[in-house]
Amino acid sequence: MYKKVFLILFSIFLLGAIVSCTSSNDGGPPWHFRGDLTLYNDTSFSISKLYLTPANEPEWGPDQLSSDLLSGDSYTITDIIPDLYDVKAVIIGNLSKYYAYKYDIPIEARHTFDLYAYNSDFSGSLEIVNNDTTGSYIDAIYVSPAGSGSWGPNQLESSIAPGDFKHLYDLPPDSYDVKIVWDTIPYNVYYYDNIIKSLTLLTINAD
Amino acid sequence: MKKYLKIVVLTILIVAFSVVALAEEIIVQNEVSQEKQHENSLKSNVTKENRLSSIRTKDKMDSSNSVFKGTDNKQMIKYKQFNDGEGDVKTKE
Repeated sequence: MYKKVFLILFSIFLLGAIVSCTSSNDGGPPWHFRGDLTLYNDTSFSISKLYLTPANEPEWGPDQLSSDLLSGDSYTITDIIPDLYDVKAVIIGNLSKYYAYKYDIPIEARHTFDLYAYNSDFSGSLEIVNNDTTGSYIDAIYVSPAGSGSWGPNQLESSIAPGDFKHLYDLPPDSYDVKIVWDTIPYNVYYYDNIIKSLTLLTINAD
Repeated sequence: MKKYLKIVVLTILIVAFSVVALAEEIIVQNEVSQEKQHENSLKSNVTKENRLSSIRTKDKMDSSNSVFKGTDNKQMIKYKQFNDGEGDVKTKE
């Protein structure tokens, strides 16, 4: 009787060991049916954050880096369940933060997807400073690519007080037209053909 | 006696099965390692076409805000992209 019980328990233990060898802890496929992604930092800055989420996810999820990815280094995310993924990389500079993306990356089992980051792949930033000395507020800012025929939405959520500023980030490098709407005459002031470069902050001093 | 023989045979079979399973795992591991080395050598000769882009085509939400150096987070605004034709018509003066 005891031997039967022992045999049954021993069998359960062995089966458990076998199952644990052929499947993963997270309920997904075993590791040899997963893929990897390697990001090569060919920019001249450190990449501070890296996000990887399935393409159909509405959020970016947690940062995948435990420390900055230095210029010239690479980082591999391993054991990714095969699917389509989106990637976002962030460079946090002294003046602003800059973004770069790659969408619908096919991660396949037992393959490594190599992804490269260059300086020109990252966004730029624009700072609008209210330098008015008469107490006027900036009520709205429109920033439109120079080739566009419309102004798009107001970029501000609240007015800019005299001496204050707002900092727009994540602009694709391009030439932009800027319309600033004041709360006093002459109301609309235009700044045409401002070049936003990658990894660069452009400042417009409005007065 | 037959009962004990059955137990022994069954135990041996189970152990043998698990050993085979582990051996297969090791073989697969080696194959994957070799395949990756081969792929890496091939990819080093391929043009680096898989690169990032500054164009944001999806507005996914951030789970946490990034920390900035030298500026206040509340002054930061993510640029609102738009399609040509949205908003007031632009007339360059």
